[in-house]
This record gives sequence, C-alpha cells and structure tokens, in this order.
Amino acid sequence: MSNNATAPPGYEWGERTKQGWRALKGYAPEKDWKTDAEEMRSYFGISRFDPTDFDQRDGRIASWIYPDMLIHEWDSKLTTRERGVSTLVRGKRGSGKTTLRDYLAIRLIEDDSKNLDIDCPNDERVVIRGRPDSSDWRRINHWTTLWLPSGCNARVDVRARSDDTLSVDDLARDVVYYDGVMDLLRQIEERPSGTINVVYPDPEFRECQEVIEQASGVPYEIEVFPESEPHEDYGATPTSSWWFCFLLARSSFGKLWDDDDNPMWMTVQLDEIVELAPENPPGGPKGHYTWEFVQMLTEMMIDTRKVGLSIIGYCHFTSDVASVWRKQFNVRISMPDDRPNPIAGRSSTFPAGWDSVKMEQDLISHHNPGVGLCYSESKFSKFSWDEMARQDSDPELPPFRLEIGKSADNRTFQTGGTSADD
Amino acid sequence: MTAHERHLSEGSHMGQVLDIGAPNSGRPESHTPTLSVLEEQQRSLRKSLREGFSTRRELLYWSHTAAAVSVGMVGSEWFRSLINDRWTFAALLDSQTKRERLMDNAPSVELAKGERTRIIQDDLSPAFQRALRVLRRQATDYTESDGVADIDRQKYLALRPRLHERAVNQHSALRWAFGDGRHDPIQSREEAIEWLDKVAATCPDSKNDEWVQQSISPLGDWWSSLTSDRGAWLESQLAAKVLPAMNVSLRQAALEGSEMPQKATEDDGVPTG
Repeated sequence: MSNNATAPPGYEWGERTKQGWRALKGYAPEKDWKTDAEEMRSYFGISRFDPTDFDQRDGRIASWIYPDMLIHEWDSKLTTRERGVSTLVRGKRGSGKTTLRDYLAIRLIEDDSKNLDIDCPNDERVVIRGRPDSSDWRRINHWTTLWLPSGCNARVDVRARSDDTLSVDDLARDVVYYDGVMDLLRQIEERPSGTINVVYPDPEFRECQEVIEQASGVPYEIEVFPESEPHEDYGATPTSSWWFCFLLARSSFGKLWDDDDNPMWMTVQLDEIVELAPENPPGGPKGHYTWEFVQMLTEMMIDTRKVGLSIIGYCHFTSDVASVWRKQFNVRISMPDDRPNPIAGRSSTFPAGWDSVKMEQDLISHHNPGVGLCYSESKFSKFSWDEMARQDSDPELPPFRLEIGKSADNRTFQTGGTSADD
Repeated sequence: MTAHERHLSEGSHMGQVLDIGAPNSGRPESHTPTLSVLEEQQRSLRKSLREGFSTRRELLYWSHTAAAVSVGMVGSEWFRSLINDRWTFAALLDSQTKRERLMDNAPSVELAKGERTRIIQDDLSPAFQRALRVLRRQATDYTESDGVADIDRQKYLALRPRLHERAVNQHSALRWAFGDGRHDPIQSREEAIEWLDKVAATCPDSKNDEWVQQSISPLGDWWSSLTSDRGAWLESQLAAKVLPAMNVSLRQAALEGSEMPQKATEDDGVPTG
C-alpha cells in the first residue's frame, strides 16, 4: 500500500534521519529529525506499534506473545519475557516471509521508550543475513547498511533488465567493509542503534578460528578453511557456516551495553536456516564440521537470550532444520500457506521438544499472506502486517545477484577500496 | 418429542443441568443468552463437584456433562485422571466413609476439599473460560438490538442444536452401557453392535479407533464387560477411550456448527503487528 509521504526536501530517503546522518556524515544529527524507523513507517504507511492492540478482548485471537517477541527488556516490566527471544518462522514460498522479515525489522528498530512505559530504548541493531541469490531486502535499501568483507571480489549482476547496471554502492544507503568477524561486530556496535544491517559473510573466515578457540564453552574441535586456503580433500568451509561464528562472537564477546548505558539489543534474522543447520548435519572435516557447529549453536542458544541477542530464523519446513537447534526456539510463527498450525491434543503436530500448544483448532491456513500466528507453549496470537510496497515515485532497484569471493567470477572489482575498477 | 425433551424425561444428571436453560425457569432477559445460561450451567456443575459423588459412575456422567457444557474444551486426559486415578476419585466421593473404604491413606476431608478446588481451578474453570471465549466470539449472532427478551426460551445447549443433540445422544449412549435410562442392559452381540453404532455416530472421528474394533469382538474385555460386568473396568475404559473421543466430537460440533461464522469474525479481529 503506497502513500504520499515525501523525503525531506533536498535529501534522499534515509539520508536525513538520526541514524542516516550519523552513518553518512559521521556527526550528530538534529534532535528533531526522524529516526530510520519513523521515516520507514512514513514511507510504507505503517502506524506506530501499539502493543495494547494485543490485549485480549472479545472477537480477537490476540495475546502478548507477539509484543513479547518484539519488545525486549532487561528486567521485564511491560512484557513477560526478559532479554532476548528466539523465534522460528515457518512458511512456504509466497507466504510472505520476506515481507514479514522486513516488517519485523522496522518494528525492532523502533524506539519504544517513546510510546511505552519502559525505562530504556529498545531500538535494536537488526542484522539480516545477506545471500548471493536473494536481493529482496532492496525494498528497504534506503535505510540499510550493507556490510561486505573487505578485500574480497564482489560482483553485482542485475537479473531482470539487462540494460541496467548497478555497482555495490548503489545497493544500500551506505556500504561498509569489515576485516573479520570481530571487526564487524565492533563496527556494528559502534554505529547507531535502531539500524538495519544486511551482512554478507566473509569467505575468508577472518578472525573466526580465533573466536571459536577463545569462546568459552565450545568443547568441539572445529577448523574453518577459508576460500583462499581450502582443505586439500574437502574444499573450503561453506560461507553459510560463517554465521555460526558471527553468532558465537556476538554471544561470547558482544557488548551488553552501549556508551550511554543502554542495552545493546541485537536481532539476527536468518533466512533459509536449513542451509546453516540441516537435520542430521554431517560432521568432521568431510562435513565441514557442520554437526559440531550445530551442537555449538544449540548450546549457545541458551546464553544468547541472556546477552540480549535474539534470533529469528525462517524456513519452509521445520522438520528440515536440525532438531537439536530448532528445539531452542521458544516462539514460533506459522505463516498462511495452507498448512494448519499445531493443535492441542495432537502431539504429532507440536514443535519438537514442546509438550503442549494452546491452539484448539487451525487458525491460520485459510488466511492470505499478511496474517501470521505467533505462539509459544502457553500463548498464541494472530497478527497482521502491511504489504510494504515502494512508492510509485521511488522505483525499486531491479533484482540483482551479489556474489562475494571466488564465485564472483569476471571480477568486477575488489571490495574495500582496492577495486580493480578504481 | 425433541432430543432435549426426551433426555429430560430420563431424569439424568445432564438433563438437570440442561434444564437450567429450559422453558419456565424464570430467568431475566439478556443480550447474550448463550453466555448467561451457559454460565449458570457451569456454576451448577461446580456445585455438584464440591458436593461430591456417590459412585464412580455418577462421576463419569458428571464429567461428560462438564465436557458438554464446556463445549468440548476440557482436556482429553482429564477424564482418565479424574475417574481412573484412585486418590482423585476418592477425594471426589461424597463421604469420608466411602473414601476410607476405597483405599488406605484416603484423603482427609480437607485434602478432598483441596483436590476439588484444584480440579475446578486447573481443569474446569480454564475449560469453561475457553468455552465462553469461543462462544462469545459468535454471541452477537444471537443478539438482537434490544436484547433477547426471554432467554429462558433457550432450547439447546449453547444455542446450538447440533451440539445439543450430540451431547444428549452421547450421554444416552453412556447410560445405555450400564443399562441406565430407557435402555435395557446390553445382553447380546446384536445389542453391543447397536450400542457401538450409537457411540460411533456421536463420535464420527473415532470409527477407526482401536477400542471400537475391540469392543465388537466377543472375545474381548469390552464384550464381557458390556454384557455382564458393567463395573470398574468398563468405567475405566469409557473414561480412557470413549469420553475423550466424545469430548473432541463435542468441540467439533460447537465449532463447525452453522451458527459459527468463524472466519468472518477472526479476519476482522486480527491486530496489526
């Protein structure tokens, strides 16, 4: 649904916001400027989040499980959950997962302290998993920081219209390069809160081995093989496994508080998590230590909540995702895709590791995209979201493919200012 | 004679409870007659529970009535825990003498009272609240602008003929298993099959259940219990196998009835996330 909002005169969308100004100019914005979240809501015609819409009342299937998922508190006063929440979203292709991901990103970067009676701002640093073959985040590119590994080849292929050309710098509000997983973490922490960050993993796995070895509670022997130095028999570690290292870095070494003593909330949204953690993952060097990574992540999930890290995973079929990991997601979302939600009394429909659900019937399968069912073992709630179409006066970027590393053949340029095209 | 009237003539516990919403009970007008009458019926069930039961069979009948008045919202395991758990059953008996006759270390009067309160709090009230919540979503369908003048004209359980008929037929089948009501005790294989058909008709999804297959075998425990014993084993099996199926069937009847424009009310009521 498009509306008639316009960008501030003389500025592009995303440029003259509190976060945008600091990201692009490096100094403090005017106090009365909008935040990214406010400008995005204006652009997409989305109202401010009101958790009281989820108060139970007649004629509604609503509860606070949905606000609990979105609003994070160090000590719960408004919600019933403390710190982070891990959510698994299940939906087939076309059920609206990508739109939901972007919509949730907007909700998560809202500064809730303005409209909610809570002590601290809740504007998160939202990290979205960048994948070479998916450019669907371009819908929100005006307000996105694109993070790329430095020194790696990068190539942008426009998919739909062959006469269009794009460079990496065209893709997002700002493009930032990182030298390793810890460098990325520290840079994100130092930049403003309330931001959306699309991160492409580093095929060189820089600083990853160190993180694995120095993080406490990793009893597994894991060795990563960068693209430039692959295992002689089994090749390089898949870049999808880099996400394990990022989550481990954030969980083990991430800052809990920023310089103003506000919580350093972070939500990592991972599309297609089956690529990271398939059921029955292979182990050892031959399996690129995927089993060990999954075990590590599973154990780490117990701690992520405590350090203010939330994970939202998306999948088509939950049964394809490693069961040991998916059991750690204590909130689920069912998308409308003709499949019923779990139903009380039918234990075969329960999520793995759950003893119960409270839904007495199928509530979701008949809906069109735009409605979801959020539930835990003790609560459930429907919720809806808007279509998030770009404005007519602001055409969306064409679909593109962003390759990093060796897969970026016909090397367009190198990232990090050492481009061959420079 | 309607199913409801026929049931009342049998003088069963369910009949007494359903009678709360029947003609000439003198209740005032209401905008939500479904809810008002149902709440009254639920209150009556709680009262019965607090007073206790003289036999396990009486408890069995009561639990089915509770399932009906909760429109099938009690848990499937509830019947088993209520009727087949010796200590719980003892706590629900209406005299200390019966409790002590049933078991050593029987619950005291205080403990029995506490157990009844726990059942109300943990099982019954949540189920009744779920029922009211579900029915409340559709209650406007029965609401006239000035309210319904004579809610005591309510003829069917929760204003739902399908639910009412199913509940009454189920209860009748339960009573038939013991030879109570207008049916003679089951004595032949033909009668056992007829009884089974009646049960299956009131629980459409249970036709393939194991107990259904077993119950028509002359060699099985069901057979001998239905035709001769009609004692604790039958009560136990009805609680474990039949009542849960009846409960689900009641829920379906309440939710799938033509009185429930479920989709429309749900779509209108989805909060923006």
